[in-house]
Amino acid sequence: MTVAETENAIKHTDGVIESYGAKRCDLIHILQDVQEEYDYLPRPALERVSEKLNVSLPEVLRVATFYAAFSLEPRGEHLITVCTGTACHVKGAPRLIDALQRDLGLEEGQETTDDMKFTLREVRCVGCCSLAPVLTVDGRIHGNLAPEDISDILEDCF
Amino acid sequence: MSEIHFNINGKEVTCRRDEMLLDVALRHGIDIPAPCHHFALPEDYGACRLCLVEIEEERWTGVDAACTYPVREKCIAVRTDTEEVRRYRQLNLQLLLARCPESESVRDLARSMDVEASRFPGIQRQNSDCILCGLCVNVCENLIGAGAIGFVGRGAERRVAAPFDEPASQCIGCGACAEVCPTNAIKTIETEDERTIKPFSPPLKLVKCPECGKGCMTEKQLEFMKTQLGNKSDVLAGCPACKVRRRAQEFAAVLRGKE
Repeated sequence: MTVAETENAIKHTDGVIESYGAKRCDLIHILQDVQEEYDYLPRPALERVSEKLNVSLPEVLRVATFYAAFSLEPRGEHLITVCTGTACHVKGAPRLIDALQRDLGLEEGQETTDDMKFTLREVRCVGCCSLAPVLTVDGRIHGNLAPEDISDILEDCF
Repeated sequence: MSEIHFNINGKEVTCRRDEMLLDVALRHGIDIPAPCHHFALPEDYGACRLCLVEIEEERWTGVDAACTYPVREKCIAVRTDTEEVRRYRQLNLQLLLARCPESESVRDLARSMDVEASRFPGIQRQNSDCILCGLCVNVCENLIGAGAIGFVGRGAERRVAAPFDEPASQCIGCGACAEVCPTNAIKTIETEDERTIKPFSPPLKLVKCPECGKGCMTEKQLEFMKTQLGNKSDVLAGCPACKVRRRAQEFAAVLRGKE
């Protein structure tokens, strides 16, 4: 983050904190709103939340790293989530992930492509098991997939 | 506050209402394994699940962790060494062993309960002696008030770390976390001029004792305690050994004066 971006993030975070009245019990709501704005939790924002709510930084990070809804890493332009719940797992979710990693050029353990275009994540059950295996691209669900369908789906993002 | 009477392994015991069962048992000399319990910390978090005991209530009998079970009127009897309790503890020890196969203290504990090996696959991770009991986090946040370390992640990836995995900037180097750690996963490493709390803190400069010249606490620790003690902070001068000697000399002088 540049200095200007950091200042902006702090200013935005202050606004969010203020809107909740700077109470410790609203920690998760505040983090959710910050995540909503930046698609991830920038470090200056986390430090600001810790300071303003009088909650230690490790405690803020405990919450921020516990929930799958929060990310500490900047996210790519498009978010692809592959369901690895039971039904999707059985119907071949691991093969979809392999295909995506190959097509996006992601290393093992890498979530976001180097050009910041795509972020690939695994989630547990999207809630439409009858369409298994399922993935979502920016919230839109694609079901009944085979590894061959991956390139068409990625194509649509460009 | 009312008193509760019940029995542990047939022995009649008395306690305050809502006193934790583990504290009551330990006070009456009944041994229950509890690596994640420390007398200095007011509240247990029930992490290790080795203090499981069989509890008989008026309408329910079952197994629960003694460290987080507040004793009330309905509690009639507690058995700490039944076949079922042993089986549960052994299972939990197997899980701890899978997490910390290298840890001497976990292995000792396992041997003492006839657990030789774990049937669960181990996980590869850093700091493999940590059983995630949370004592270090608790002592740092609640007793010392520094708030330098905390849990990150969840599930098998959960671990204790300083913020952003950098050397902990809030760490004052008091070493309380290393002191309470039941498995020696945290270590205080001291050279002549510096102390490092491994794996959390950066090297921290030591203050020398004005009498013996040995390093006695870190500069940050002194600063931290000064802000807490305010105008009483002159009691901090000197290392514990020199302070004890000085106090002993004063005492001896008083005694001599009485002769």
